[in-house]
Amino acid sequence: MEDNENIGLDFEIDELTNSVRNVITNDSFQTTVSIISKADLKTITKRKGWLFSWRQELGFPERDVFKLTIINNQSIIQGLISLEVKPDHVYMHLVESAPFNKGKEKIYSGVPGNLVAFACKLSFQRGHEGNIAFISKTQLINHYIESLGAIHFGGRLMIIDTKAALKLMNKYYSNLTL
Amino acid sequence: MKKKNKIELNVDFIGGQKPLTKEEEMKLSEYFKKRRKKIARPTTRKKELVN
Repeated sequence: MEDNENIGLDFEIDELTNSVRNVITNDSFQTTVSIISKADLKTITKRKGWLFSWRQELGFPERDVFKLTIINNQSIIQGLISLEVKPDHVYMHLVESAPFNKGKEKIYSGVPGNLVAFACKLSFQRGHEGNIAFISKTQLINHYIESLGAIHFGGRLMIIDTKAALKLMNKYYSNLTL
Repeated sequence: MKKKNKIELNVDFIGGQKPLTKEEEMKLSEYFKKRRKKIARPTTRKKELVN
């Protein structure tokens, strides 16, 4: 693995959709986000192509790990997100698309955007006005500004504020009433 | 018709599992505290004017 020590989320928000889209057939599939179970860990290993130790992530009691799956196909994890509800915002520790959704050969697009929108939803639900914080690699800062409407807070820190969170929410959860 | 700008990056998804530094935590906390105050302020001013 490249350098896990060089902290910074490095996910590409390739598309904002209210579902994931099969890049070959162009078909869209409705998704759902749910908390992962210990049984899921069997399929989320480095041996199976995941870059991070999600077992380790699940070991932090203050963090919650969620999986994105396609409705009616819950056994296949499309992506994962690790979130921590802080006193005044939600901190996004980690986002990772499934190995088959990475790079140019990905099967589904829209996975990371979908998960970030879920983080915004959680932030609203917890009374944090949609505020999200996360860390970015330097070369991806502009990408997050343009694709997520994030604010560069300085250094590695990025913030998604209420306005940007609402935009993302409308995109993914347009039928949701807060 | 307006053409949608799509940004393509040739990167995979790599992140870190280390926690934030205390300094970063503090900066974030201060920022969100200020934001909350900023949101609450207009109501306070209105009350002051009424009184």
